[in-house]
Amino acid sequence: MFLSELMDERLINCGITAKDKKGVIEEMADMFVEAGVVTNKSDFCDSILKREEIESTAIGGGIAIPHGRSDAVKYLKVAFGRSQKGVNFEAIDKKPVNIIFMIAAPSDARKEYLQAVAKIARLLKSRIMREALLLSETPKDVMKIIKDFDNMLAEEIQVVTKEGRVIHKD
Amino acid sequence: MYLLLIVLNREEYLDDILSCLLELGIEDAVTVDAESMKRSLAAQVPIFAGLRLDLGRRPFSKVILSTSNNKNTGKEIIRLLKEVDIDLEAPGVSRIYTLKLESVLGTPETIEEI
Repeated sequence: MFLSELMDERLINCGITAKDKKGVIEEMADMFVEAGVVTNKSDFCDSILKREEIESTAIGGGIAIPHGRSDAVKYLKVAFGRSQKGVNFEAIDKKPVNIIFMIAAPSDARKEYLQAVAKIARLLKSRIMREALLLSETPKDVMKIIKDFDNMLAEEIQVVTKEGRVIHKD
Repeated sequence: MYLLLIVLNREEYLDDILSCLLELGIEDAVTVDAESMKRSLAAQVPIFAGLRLDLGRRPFSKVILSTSNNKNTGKEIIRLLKEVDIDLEAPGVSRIYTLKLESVLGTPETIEEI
């Protein structure tokens, strides 16, 4: 799975204006609604907030990866948001969040959903990637960074399941 | 089918490796607490007590066991983590073994994220 396949420029906002966690979640949910990914904003936001109640997805270093599964989501997609001033996302390091990747997944998405969460977490481990995302000014810039990240892999790692078992590409 | 056995001497990379396994679509893994040979010798064999100076406050090791249909999964994990500046091949960090399995019985647990 390539991250760039789960995103497009309609799902990128380099100028998030919301000032708190709930506001950011709603502002980013609007992108999913306008792109036709989410059919019910309220249900979708509830799924995100439900996950946040377990533990904040702001994992430190100014990044957050809110995610949720819902019947209101038609297909697995990822949105990107950047807050210049930073938002209190109740991060584990208590610092404001500037970079947000939000994942919307249908209720029955499981393996691909886990993979998307893991992939984004790994992307954001890279200081170079984080800095590039912070400096990006347009959705086009962000998509280029994501595609560069995807292209670091020599070939796509495909996952196919057979009878519930994962079969990787040989 | 292959058994992937990762001996990790840098405990701080455990979550990165487990996350990598998830990213590769592998959920059938288990983590075991372990002690490196160096630590065991330092702690239990008096003649090697000198090794304690080199251990410092290094935490214990972890062993991660998982299965995969791809014999190159170990290489994939190394490659994915090198992209984010984690070098599992650096001296003393880890050892990754891939063993061919005769059979696997039982049903793995599935992981459901909310």
